[in-house]
Amino acid sequence: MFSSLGNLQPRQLAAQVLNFALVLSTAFMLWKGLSVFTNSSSPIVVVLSGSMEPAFQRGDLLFLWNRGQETQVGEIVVYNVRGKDIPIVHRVIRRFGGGSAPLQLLTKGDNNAADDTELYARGQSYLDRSKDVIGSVVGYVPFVGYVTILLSEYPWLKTAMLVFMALTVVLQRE
Amino acid sequence: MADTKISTQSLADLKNTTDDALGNYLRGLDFKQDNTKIDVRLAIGYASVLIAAATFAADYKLGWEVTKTWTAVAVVAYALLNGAFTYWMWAVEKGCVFDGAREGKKISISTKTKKYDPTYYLTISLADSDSIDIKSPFTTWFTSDGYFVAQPFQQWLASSIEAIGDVDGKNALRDQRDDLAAPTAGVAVLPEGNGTAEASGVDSKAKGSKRSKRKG
Amino acid sequence: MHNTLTRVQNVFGFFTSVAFAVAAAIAISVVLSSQTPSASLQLRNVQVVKGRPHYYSTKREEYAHITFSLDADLSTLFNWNTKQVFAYITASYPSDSPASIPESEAVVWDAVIPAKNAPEHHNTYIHPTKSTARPKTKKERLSLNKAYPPGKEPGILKLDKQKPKYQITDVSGKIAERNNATLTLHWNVQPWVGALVWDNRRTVGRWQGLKGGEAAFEFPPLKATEAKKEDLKTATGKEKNRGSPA
Repeated sequence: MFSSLGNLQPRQLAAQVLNFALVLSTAFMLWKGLSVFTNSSSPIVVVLSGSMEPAFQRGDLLFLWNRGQETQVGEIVVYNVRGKDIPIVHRVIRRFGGGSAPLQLLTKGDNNAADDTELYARGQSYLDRSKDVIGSVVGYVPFVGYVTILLSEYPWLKTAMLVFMALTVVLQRE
Repeated sequence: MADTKISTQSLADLKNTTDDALGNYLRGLDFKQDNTKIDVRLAIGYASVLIAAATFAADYKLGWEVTKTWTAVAVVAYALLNGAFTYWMWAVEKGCVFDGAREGKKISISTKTKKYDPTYYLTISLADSDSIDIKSPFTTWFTSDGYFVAQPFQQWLASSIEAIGDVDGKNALRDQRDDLAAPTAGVAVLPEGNGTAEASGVDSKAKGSKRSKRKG
Repeated sequence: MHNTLTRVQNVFGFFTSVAFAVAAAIAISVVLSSQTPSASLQLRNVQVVKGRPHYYSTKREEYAHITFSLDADLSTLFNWNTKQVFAYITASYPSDSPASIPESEAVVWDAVIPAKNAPEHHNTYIHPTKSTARPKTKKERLSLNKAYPPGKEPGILKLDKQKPKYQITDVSGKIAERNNATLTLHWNVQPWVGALVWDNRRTVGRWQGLKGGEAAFEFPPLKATEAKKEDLKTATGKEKNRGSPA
């Protein structure tokens, strides 16, 4: 397998490596392009918990849009708790402010009996739309995100997948 | 030529091995390879990869909010470079596998294959004549179990292309060359299953050399 | 197709393309379905009391308890791509500077109405029924556990003197005597695949806008006498995650 690589001229080897690098960088730039388009740092998220059931299940894929600053009650937003890096997908149940004042939102998961006041940072009673919210859910695809949940729960899967991808792209010269 | 075995079912493998052999053969005959086309492609490609890497690094270090505008710029630049890259490969390179010159005479060879057709199509453009199209089935120089045999391949090239045949007299089979006669040969099609270049390695080599010795 | 791996790759790739095309077709085809929702909403009673509305409230503040009657037909919202309809009623009132700051809004009641082909889930609205007789057959028992009255279809809501699920407060702590408040019915259609849509008041193509479903009211002054505990009971939803939210 690898002997075929050793026979290549240096330029051809560079071309093969370039193919692999282009696959990775195109995927990354497409992601960043979508980020720029939706103005969200994470335009596609995977549902991690069952707090929005039966609407969203673990493993569902959500498409976010972050260009509307006047979020309405009933919209489903994704936010990060201040200081933590876990995105939470919940529905807005109260709003105060907006316009010239900062928009304050209270959220609650459909499958939670209580609202999110206890989830927010200490001393924080409401979310700030401009600071805490990553985006608002506009589209949904069931199940397909389950792969990412598997990848995060079994980290060796991630390495294995990347190595496999690398091998197939570099060794195949199609 | 390393004795690596390839799958005779894979058209891509057949073509790539043959392309590599073509390059090695010509370089062995002192055709100096002109790498500008490949170099431009590599330059465009690696430039776009660098932009992506820089964007990644900036995003990793500084986060999304701060790098938003630069990311937008980088995405546009990447799209343009990738477009240029694709255009270069499609319009300029167009299947070119060897671009070179020998003693001032330029030669440019591009190859292609058609889906489900085990034939190697070659287009040669020389400095002083029109482009020539030749083709040959891969069975001419591959054994049935997937080994590449250099001799029949080199013989086919030397016999079908004047410029190569002039340089490599050993492989240019006289009778074939005589058939070709006119210097501006149009499409030269080898008879199907070229007799001497049968897929049995050692034998064909012996036969070939005997022939040229006899006639030469 | 020179080896098994390539064949597997090709099959998988083809499967992905077909799945994507089918999903896109389903998602876009909802534009062709026709919707004719209708609703009428009335306020029954509103009380403003001072106290601790939530177990985590650290201070006493004014909160409002709103009961209402709703007669809605959202059955046409259920098309082939509807997984559930999240119906909710909000109370909205002007802010302290209406010229520059829009209205404040809070959800008073909500219900998860699943489509008929959605899998069973505990977090589903169960429509109250008038009949108090014990169900005799299994069929009767099952029909009483639906999100709509027996004999009707998903999306039909007939509620009289419905208690709220949430008692609402204002961020300032004062909600009494606010005027120009409105009670509004909204919905959010959750698809099997595709875009989420919310209620539309204007007709868009084959989707009729909702007329009605609004009721104007005013928040009364703070209740002087002690409100009866029964009067301030709220309706409990079917959410399973109680205590610490997930």
